[in-house]
Formats: sequence, C-alpha cells, structure tokens
Amino acid sequence: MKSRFLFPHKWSLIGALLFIMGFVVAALNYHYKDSIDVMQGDTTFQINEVLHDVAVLLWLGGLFLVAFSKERIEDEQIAQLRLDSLQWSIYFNYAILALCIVFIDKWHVMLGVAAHFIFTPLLFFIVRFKWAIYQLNRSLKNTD
Amino acid sequence: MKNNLRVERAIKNMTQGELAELIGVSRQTINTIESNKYVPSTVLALKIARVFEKPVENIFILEEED
Repeated sequence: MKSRFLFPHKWSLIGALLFIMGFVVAALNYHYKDSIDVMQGDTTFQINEVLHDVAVLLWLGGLFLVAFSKERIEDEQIAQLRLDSLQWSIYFNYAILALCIVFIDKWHVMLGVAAHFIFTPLLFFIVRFKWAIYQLNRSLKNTD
Repeated sequence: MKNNLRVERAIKNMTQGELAELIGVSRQTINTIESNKYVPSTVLALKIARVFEKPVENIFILEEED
C-alpha cells in the first residue's frame, strides 16, 4: 500500500532546519526592532512586517515538511499511524480551541490565542505521530 | 484474528528482518503482526502467504470474536 502526496524522507531534515530558521528570523526581527524604528517613514513598518511574515512562513513550511515527509520505511502500518495521528490531532486541536473559547472571556485576548491555531494541528500531529513510532520501536526492543 | 507467522518463520529459519525485507515492510510491522497488535491488509497477507508458499488461511486464522 502506497501513501500518496508525501515528500522524500530526507526533506524532514530540511523541514527541521526551516523551523529553526524561523526562530532565528523572529529573534532578529525582535532584536533589531528599535534600530529599524530609527529609519524613516513607512520602511520601518514594512521591514518588520516582511520579517514577521518570513518567520511565520518558515515555521509553517518547516512543520509541513516534518509532518509530511516519508518515514525511512513507509509501509502500510506507518500509513495507518499517520492517519490515526492526523485524526487525533484534529480532535485534540478543536477540543483545546473549545476550551479556550469557554475560558477566555475577552475577545481580543481570544483572537491572539486563536492566531496560534495556525500551527497547532501540524504540531499536535507531529508529536502524536512521532510518539506512536517511538512506542512501536520500543515494543520491538522489548521482544528481542 | 490470530496467525502462525512465528511458527512459519521458524520452519523456514527466517528472521523478522529477512521476512520484512522480502515483502517490503519494516521489521516493526512483522513484529506487531506476530503479536496480534496489527492486522495486515489483504495485499500484505497475500504477500506473506506467497513467501511461505501456503494459502492465506493456513497462516491467518479467524477467531470466534471476529
């Protein structure tokens, strides 16, 4: 059984690098905020905006590649775990979102929190999927 | 569903890794099939049966609760 629409295995490494680069860009943006402010006119706003966009895109792209690169041996059991984890992450994501809606009363705070839900489905999926694979490998060691 | 995979492998003197390589899956998959944690697809079951040159029913057996 073949999983479709997956990137080659090695691309997950590229994904991890992109994800880390996202933090570097975000840190640079934060660190040089004041010096950029010295510049004139609309340029300040644009540079901060662009760097912010770049950071978010790096995080998204990185998470995406890590989540949807093939495993070293991508067989039908891995495909099953992938599907289970995807379902689990969507369930979990919306459960957390519902909790946030119930417990965060101020709507502008809620908007700030909701912005993070751009990343969480991918993040929850990766954690759940890698955990399942770790458990699988551990069960193999136990039987040796 | 239970299976005789471990027995059949022993008869052929074959490791989990060797069988996994023959049919193109990971060793973990063979291991979880043997310990009844994973039910293989029909394609995979047929591939396994072909390695042992036996009908699928001789290797995979339905149980009462299935």
